[in-house]
Amino acid sequence: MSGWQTLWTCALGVSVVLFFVVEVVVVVGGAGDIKDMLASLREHASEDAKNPS
Amino acid sequence: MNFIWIDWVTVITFLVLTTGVALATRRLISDYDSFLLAGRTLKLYLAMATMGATELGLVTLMYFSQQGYKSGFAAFSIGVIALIGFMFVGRTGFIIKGLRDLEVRTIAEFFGRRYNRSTQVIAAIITFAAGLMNMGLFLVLGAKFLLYMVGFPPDMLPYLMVGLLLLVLGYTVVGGMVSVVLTDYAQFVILFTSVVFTTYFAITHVGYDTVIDTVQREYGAGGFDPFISDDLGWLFIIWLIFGIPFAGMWPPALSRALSTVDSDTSKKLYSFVGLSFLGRALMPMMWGICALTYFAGVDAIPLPMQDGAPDTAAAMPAYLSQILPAGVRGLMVAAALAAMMSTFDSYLLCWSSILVNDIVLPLRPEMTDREKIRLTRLAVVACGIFVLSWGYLYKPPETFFRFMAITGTMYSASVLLTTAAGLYWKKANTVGTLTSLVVAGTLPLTTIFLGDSDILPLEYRWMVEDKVVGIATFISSLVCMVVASLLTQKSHPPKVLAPREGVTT
Repeated sequence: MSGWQTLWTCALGVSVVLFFVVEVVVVVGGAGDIKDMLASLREHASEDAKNPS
Repeated sequence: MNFIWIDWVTVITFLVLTTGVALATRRLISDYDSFLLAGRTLKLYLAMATMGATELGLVTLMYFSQQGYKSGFAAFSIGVIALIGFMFVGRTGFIIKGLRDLEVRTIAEFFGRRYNRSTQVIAAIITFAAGLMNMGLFLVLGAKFLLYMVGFPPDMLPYLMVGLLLLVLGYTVVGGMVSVVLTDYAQFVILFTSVVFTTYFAITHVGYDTVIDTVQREYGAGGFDPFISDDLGWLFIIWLIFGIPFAGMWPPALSRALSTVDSDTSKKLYSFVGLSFLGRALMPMMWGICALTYFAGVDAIPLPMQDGAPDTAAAMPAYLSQILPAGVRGLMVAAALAAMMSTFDSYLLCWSSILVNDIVLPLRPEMTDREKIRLTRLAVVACGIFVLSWGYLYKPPETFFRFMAITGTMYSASVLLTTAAGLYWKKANTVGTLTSLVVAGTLPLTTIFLGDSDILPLEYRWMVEDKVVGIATFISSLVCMVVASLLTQKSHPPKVLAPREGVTT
């Protein structure tokens, strides 16, 4: 295998690992963020309903 | 037809769930900020999900796989350069930190504050034009993928394009950014999982050693070394390197950075999600390379043809339709639909917001939130119809990725380069910015409209090659910005932003 072939094989392997790591981190952390975002938007919407301007 | 019942059940379940979210979140839209920026409440992980899903579209899978098919492993250099760009932006906060601190909704809004209203409108028009042209191929590529994966007859292509457009328009118009963000999260999960699975199936079906041998036989050393590749080459790599400081700043991605809770979150967003951008490029490229290997073999089905030549964009979906097991094929199509919807909806919303915020609003500042939301929804529909028409009429030169790259340069070298100057160079003034915007906003049009025509004599064709025009656009934009600003400092003194307005004092 030439230098370029080895480089691209390693790059492909690294890319799969990084892709998977990002997915796991985002899936776990994102669930909590969704809860917070919806709470904030609900609060904002109810404030606007109370004080229409 | 390649689909069986389990594939259809997977796809239909996914569609019902995602469109249901758009309807459920409608009552949370109370004003323009909550429609367009989800109320600026995006925290890091959700911002990563929505940016990851937005930037990994079906069109991305298609143009990267086509590039892999045409350039072999040498195409991987594109992914490596993208990774370097994201790491640079994430580490330094280049542009994104300044814009987030200013709390602007769109990048053109910055031009209104730093320069004047007409500069804002011109920047917005260039961004809008480049963006719409860039998005023009989304529908046709998306429909082509479905056509070959599901196994529809070729004359179904226009109907698929219309169907996909109606699907995306429906829930973007109803829900705005909140539904886009929520569906992006679900789409991120299904999309990222399917991409990894599909890469496994694509490689194991033909065998990695066979892939290497095929690329060596078809493309020689240029199939691995991007500098000697027939399709890429030195100039192409230099062109991409010019774009490194502006990585991931295409307006829909930038809107995610502007939707985060603060500028530190924006920087972390680019650093973390940038890690996935290597795989975003390399894995679909690998599918294209595996498709090349498959169609070079003796047991393959015939490669689809278009206008008498092999349709290289269709190679990947045609290959996957033959090798993915039932069920996984349905999951992949659901993921592809997720990819298309998450990208398409964000892009539609983004270009429409630019039209409303930066072109219409400066002329009609008295508009209410309700009127702005209504106009944005109308603009979403109008942009969708344009994309449908462009997909029918325009035939891009060379590969789809290269068309994306030249429309990206039209935006980066004009709007982003002048934004950077406005943020970090005190002498940047309106004349320099306008000159740079106009030059960099028009030069790439020579490639887009003349690149494949016979108007120019053969000996001058090199002048409209995308890589030549791309490099020339970056250099001439920078020169125009610096020279015109310095020559007009007295007649047009640079505007000074107060510290609370921005970083320039």
